[in-house]
Parts: sequence; C-alpha cells; structure tokens
Amino acid sequence: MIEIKNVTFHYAGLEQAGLSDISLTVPDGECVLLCGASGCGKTTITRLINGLIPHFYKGELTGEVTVNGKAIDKQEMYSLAGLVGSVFQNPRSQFFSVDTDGEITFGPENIGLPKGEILSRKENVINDLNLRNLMSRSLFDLSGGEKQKIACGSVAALFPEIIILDEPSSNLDWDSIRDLSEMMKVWKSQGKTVIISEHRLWYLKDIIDRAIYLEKGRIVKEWDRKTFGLLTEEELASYELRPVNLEEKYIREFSEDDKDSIQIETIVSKSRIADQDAEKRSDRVFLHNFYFTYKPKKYFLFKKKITPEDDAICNLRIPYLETVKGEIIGIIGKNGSGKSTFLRCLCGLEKICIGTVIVNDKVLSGKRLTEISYMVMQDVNHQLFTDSVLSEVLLSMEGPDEKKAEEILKNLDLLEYKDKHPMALSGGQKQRVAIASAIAAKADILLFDEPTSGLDYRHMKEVSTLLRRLADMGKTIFVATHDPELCAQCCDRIIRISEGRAMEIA
Amino acid sequence: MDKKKLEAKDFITIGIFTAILWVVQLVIMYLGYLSPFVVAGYAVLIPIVTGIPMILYYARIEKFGMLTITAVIVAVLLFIFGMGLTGAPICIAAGLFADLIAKSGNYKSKTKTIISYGVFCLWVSASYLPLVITADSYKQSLLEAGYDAAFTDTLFTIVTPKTYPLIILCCFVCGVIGAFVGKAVARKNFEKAGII
Amino acid sequence: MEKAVKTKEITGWLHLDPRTKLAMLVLFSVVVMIDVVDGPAYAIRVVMTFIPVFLVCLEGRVHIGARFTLLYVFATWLMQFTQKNIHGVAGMLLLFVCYMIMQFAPTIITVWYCISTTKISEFMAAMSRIRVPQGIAISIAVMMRFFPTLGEEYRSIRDAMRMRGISFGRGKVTKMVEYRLIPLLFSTINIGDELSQAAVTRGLGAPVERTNISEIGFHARDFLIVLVMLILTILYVYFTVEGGNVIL
Repeated sequence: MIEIKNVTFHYAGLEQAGLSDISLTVPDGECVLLCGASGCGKTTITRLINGLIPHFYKGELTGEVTVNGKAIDKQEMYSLAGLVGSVFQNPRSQFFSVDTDGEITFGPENIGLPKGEILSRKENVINDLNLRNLMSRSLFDLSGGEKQKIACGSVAALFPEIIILDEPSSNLDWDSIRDLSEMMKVWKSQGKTVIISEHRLWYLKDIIDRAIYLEKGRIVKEWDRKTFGLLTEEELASYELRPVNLEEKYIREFSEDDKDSIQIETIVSKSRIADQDAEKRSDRVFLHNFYFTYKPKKYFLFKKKITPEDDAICNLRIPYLETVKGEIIGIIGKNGSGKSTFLRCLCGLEKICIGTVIVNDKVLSGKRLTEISYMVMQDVNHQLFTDSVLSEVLLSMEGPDEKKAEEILKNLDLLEYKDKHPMALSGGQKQRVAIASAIAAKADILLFDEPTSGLDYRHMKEVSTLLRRLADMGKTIFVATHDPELCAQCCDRIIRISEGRAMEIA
Repeated sequence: MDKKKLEAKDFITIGIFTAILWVVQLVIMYLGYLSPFVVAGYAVLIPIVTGIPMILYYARIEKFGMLTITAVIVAVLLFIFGMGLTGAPICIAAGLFADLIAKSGNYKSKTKTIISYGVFCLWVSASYLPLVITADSYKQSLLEAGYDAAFTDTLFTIVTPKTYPLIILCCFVCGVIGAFVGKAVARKNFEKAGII
Repeated sequence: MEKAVKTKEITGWLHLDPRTKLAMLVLFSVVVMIDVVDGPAYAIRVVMTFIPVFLVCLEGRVHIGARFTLLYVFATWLMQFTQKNIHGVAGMLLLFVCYMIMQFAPTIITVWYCISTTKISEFMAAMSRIRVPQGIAISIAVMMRFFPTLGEEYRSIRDAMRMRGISFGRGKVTKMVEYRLIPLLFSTINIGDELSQAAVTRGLGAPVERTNISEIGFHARDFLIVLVMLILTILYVYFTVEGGNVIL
C-alpha cells in the first residue's frame, strides 16, 4: 500500500512546479493513471514513490510518503529497488549494459541475489513478458520500442510489488504501445500495483482502475475506469486531455491493415515534370528519385550512389511525389519503416541519395537541399548551439539583421525570451527556437521528426496551430509522426511509408 | 542529504566525464596526425580544450575521489596506448593532488578549483615522458624510419630532459588558462541554462 | 524492411575471458611502447599485430580484419616508398601519417576487439575477481557503454551543424569547437542524469556483494593466447635489448 499524506514539495533552485498538499492512497494491486498537463506534478508524484525525491532530486519536502508502512525518505535507494520498480520516458538512456541479457539481470545482480535465483527470474520474466526474441542482442541495435520492452523486463526481474511508469509511450510507435499495454496487463494479473503517468490515454482505458487528474501540483479530479472510458471528447478537451477513444479510422491507418491506400506512382520520367504547365510548376514542389539504402555497395573509399535500379536492396524507394506549396503532409509508418530516413534524405543529410527536389524551376539535389529544407529533429537539443535565443536566430542568417530576427521571434511568441539561454527553455519553446532559425535561414521545406512526442494536449494543439501558420506562410511541411491526433488536427495529406514505399491514404 | 562519500550515481558521472575527457584528448591527438608540430602543442591544446568539460565536471560532483578515479582510469588508458608505466604514476599523483587541493576548498572555492585543474593537467606531461627518457633511441628509430634529421632535431629540442620541467610548467599554466576558459563557458552556458 | 539492421550477438563463439583480453592489452602495450623498424623484433611485432586481427576474423567480422590488413600493408608499402622517393616536408608528413597508423592502429583494433566482445556483466565479474573496487568498475563499465552513445550524439549534432551550414564554425576555430562541445555536454548531462536514475532505482550501489551471473573462467584457448602473446613479448623485449634499444 502506498500512502502519501499532505505532501508539499518544491524543487531546489528550479521554478519548475512542485506539489502542494497532495494526499493519495493506493491499495495493493490497483492500477492508477496520473494525468494532466505538462508540469502539473504527475512525474513528481512518481518520484515521491520511487524515492528519487528526496534521494536524487533535492528540495523542500514536507509531509509523509510511505510504501508498505516504510517511510521513503528513511530508506536508501538500493533497499527500495526490490520494492518499487521504475520505467522511464527515454528508452535510449535507461540501460546500463550493452546486451539485452545483461540488462535483464542487472537489477537482481545489484542487490546480490543468488545466481540460481537470478537465472530462474530471468526465465520467468522472458516468458511472462514475451521477450524471447530480443535476447542475446546488442541494445544499441534495438528500436525504441524494443528498448522500452527490455527496460520493462529489467524492472520486472526485481519482482517489485509496485511498478511505476513515467510517460513510457512518448517515443514509441503504435505497435510498441500495444506491446507495452500487454505488459501492463500481465503485471496487473500478477497483482502488482501499477502507477502510470501519461499523456496518451487511449491505450490505458481498459487497464486502469482509477484516473487521477492533476493541475498545478494539486489533485483536482478522480474517475474510476468506467466513467473515465465514457468521457466525451469535449469533456476531455475542457481538461486539456488527449482522447480516450480513438476513431477506428486512425487505428486502421496506423496498423497497416488498411486496404484503401493507393500506391504512389512508381515510374515517372523527368520530362513529365518539365511538361507541366508553368502555372502549376510555380506553386508545386516535386520530389524525384528518393532512393536510399543502409547497405550501399562500397568501393575502397567511396560509397556507391543509389539509383532506381537498386530498388531491390533499398530501404527507401520513393520515385516521385508531388506536393502543393503550403501543404502539410503527415508521414506515418512503423518505427524503422523509413520515415526518418526519408526526412534525412530530403534535407540532404544522406550523401548517397540522388533524390532531387524541383521548386520554382530550380533543380536541387545533394548538398544544395540543405539550403531550402530544414529539419526540426526529434531531440531538438542537438540543434541549438548558441547562448541566447536571439543569437541562435542570427546564426542562421546570411547577414546578421537584428531587427528581422526580432520580428521572427515575435511571430513565434519568443521575443520575451530573446536573451535567455535556449537550453533554459521548455521543450515546446526550444522547438520554436529551432523553427525560428529555419525561417531565418529562408528554408522553404520544413521537416518535423516526431514534433509531438511526449507533449500534452495543449502543447500538441499549439504545435498543430503553429504548423498551420507556417504552411500559410507558404512553407511546405512534412511531419513524421505517430500521433493520430496531430494528423487529424492539421495534416492536409497523409502518406504512409511501409518498407520504404510510400502510400497515399485517401 | 549532503553525503561526502561517492555514491553509485557519482561513479556513473565519473565514468561519463572520463569518457568525454578521453575522447576529447584523443581527437586532439588525432590532429597530431595532420602535423608533427601539433605533437609538441599537446601541452597547450589538451589542457585548454578539456578545461570546458572538466570545469563542468568539478561542479557536478564536488566530492573527494572524483579526480583520483578519473586519473587512475586515464593512466590505465595511457598505459594501454603505449605511453608506458613511467607516465602512469605521474598521472595518478596529479589526480590525487588535484583532488586534495579541490577538497581543501570544499570544491566550491574558485581559486582552488582553478589551481586544482592546473595540477590535474600535469597528466598531459606524462604522455611525453617516454619521449624524454628514451630520447636517444627514439630519435634513432625516427631517423631509421626515414625522418628528416632537421625535423627530429626540432622535435627533440622542444622535448628533452632539460625542457621537461618547462613542459610541466606549460601544462600547469595552460591548465589554469583552460580553467578560466571553462569557467567562462560555464557561466555563459551552463549557469545561464540553470544546470549548475 | 522489418528491422533497419539485423543485429548480431555481442560475444562471438570464442568467449575469451575478459582477463585474457586485459592481459592481451597489457602485453600488447609493452610492444607498442618500444619502437623497432627492422630485424627479428619487427617480425615479432607484425605477428603480434595480427593476433587480434585474426581473433576479430574468427569472431566473424572478416571485413573489418580485411580492411585493417589492407590499411596496414598499404601503410608499410607507402612508408618504404616514401623513404626512397619522396623527400622534404611532404615526405615527412607522409612518413608521420604512416608511422602513426602503424604505431596506433594495432592498439586501436585490439581495444576495439576487447570492448566490442565483452558484455558489461562479464566485465564486472572479471573486475571483482581481480579485486578492483566496485566504484571504479562501475565507472569503467559506464565508460564502455558511453562511447557508442557519445558517437550517436555527436552524429546528430554534426547533422544539425550541416543543416545550418556551420560545420566549419563560419571560419572560426573556437566556434568549431564550441558548437560541437557545448551541445554534446548538454546531452551528456541529460543522459547521465537519466542513466543514474535508472541505475539507482534498480539497486546499483547496494552495499552487498554483487552477484555476477556471467560464466567467466580460463579455458584452454585463453591459456594458449596468453602463452603465445607472453612468449612473443619476451622474445620481442629480448631482441630489442640485443638491438640496443632502451627498455622502459
């Protein structure tokens, strides 16, 4: 049993919202969902239970947190390990080993269980969570979803009574989320207490026993499973929560058993593009010959360029795609289907791709693609280089023009932060800084790689409004996403990439 | 909750920053591929550039033992990369003294941190040691390998047993400069972003 | 394409004990430390260089072994060619490059072999057998795990720089360093925090004797490799002393 009594917490040195006067009791075997906007305190509650507060995050803590009668702040982290297990948001950074077997046994080895016990636990976990086909692999070669499964296995091997998941689906595709919910069902059937903090709600509605809604560090509302499942879209929207029930249409689209989709034309001669009348040419963007493989033929020093003739070995094969300027094109597909690869080729990051883009009668390929296209990466931290928002924008300009830079920032509601360090901003703000520098660089084609992963309803909506505004400015936008709500909100067209081929979804 | 002993999370931080230190210095070493004269410049370049991650590292742990462990690991790596047994003790001693100096300032004092990092940088001089001790045979082997006599002479007027104290001094001075650079970068970036 | 890359097992079928690999590294470093350019010692050096290459091939990475061999042979040839035909600064630079390749490439491939075929749990087991304190073992294990991560992070940052056309820091060397190092450090701090959280919530650092389920132990092949390396190293040292080289 978990008991949180009148807890108030503030993070030391951070303005980041803490908790005020939270009381919560979770009986054994219950599955509780914590929901609410970013910064509402749901992650903070999970940290109270797994001991990261006060052992890892320092701050002012009043009140009492007990698990099975033991006060968390009096326990050492390692003695909690066998009692409370935690799965975190980022699959890339939560493994310690380099191989999958070692990761499963990592926890039990740490707490010094006997060897036989560890091996039998490992077998147990592999069978329960269906991990057999992931064993004996390098963790660096796994997809995000597979890594997350291993993380679950690793936690489960400690046989904790309580399992905590902190936004575990943020970086996962549709199929992986399904696997995750299967795992949670297994844990529930084993009588474990499961606490999950999450934005995406649809996959949880049949699992949870209770949903708790937080706002600004306080518990505001509680639902049981039945009433939660019946909440209408309007009600949810008023709480700024994401849908609980997703339309059948999206489930079909994302699960790849849709029969209505149309294969995009395969063979197109160059002359056909030139033949188009001038008016049509001027407001369109043509993509031609986007082929790519991870295993190109290698010469001693060079890699062979990929041409349509190499179709058989290609991981990406898109011979032709035509879009209208100012269109938002959603790109969906499983992890590893070639979505990100397509975006990388489109902005000229893959040297062996010979794809060309024709815009305003200019034929661009290879390095020159980087001049007209700009990708906002999934981990936006990688593309912020300077020490203030303003200089970030100036860096992208050919001739630094402070006036113009401020105008761009104003358009993106960033002007008040212009002297702040980009890394001190929130995730959404960082994304906007990256967009600002794309606009400053005069990019015509904007590419977004999972812009809404891990975002709550309000921020997702903000992103979709922003994309629409950018499209209205005449930018052509490609969004690779797993987020059906984003597709529904703002995409003009949806293209599914499957085994490197593009299908139009009608 | 201010524990003074290193905990599991500190050992993880130590591993991560030692990895960065090693990679950064390896990259600078590779620059040595481009020009033999960069080899002589290691004593300048390595302390200054690694100053940036190292000052951040000082701010991340602030417990005794961090620098010693880093130095031990670097010494092992130096050994594996053929810098020899002679270099390893210097490296470890530099780490230990740097740790003691930083500890005397409780890892908070700015001056002590800067001096401590200067001392820590003496490990760089350890990588020159085999060059100094075996100067004659090393020179001979370079000549046999077909190097220009003029080049070997220049290299060995810069690096000789007599100039070795100067190299050590250079490591220290550049370490102090590196610490200032690191402090400036930290103020400009990490403090402004609110992570230290 | 279901998986981008079909994955392979980490440890090959050889399953050398991590301590064997460590011994290999140590013996090898002795050889690297002392320079020779000809005579029997040189022959031994070449033989020893190709032991790890041979092991790499045995583990099924023939292409890597082949590429290394090609590079090594090429460097040897180029060195001799340069000595005879090219003089002046250009010759010297070429010589230096060849020299560095022949000096460090063997170490790099040996280190690569040792790291890429060792599981973290095997490594931890070996460290506790040779009584290395657990803290230091954790630090080194994290390093081993962190090198590939650093590579991944760096590649993303490099891509981002290319997209913005600032790969060369707009002509300033300091900017070139800054734009790479600063984002890298920011990522590092995030990853470090997240990794620490994941590790401590799974009991890392518990004051109990850590179990190591990895089966490590010396087998005939371990003895064989260590013995061969040891004999070769002794011969190498002997010949270099004969040849008048100073030993460290």
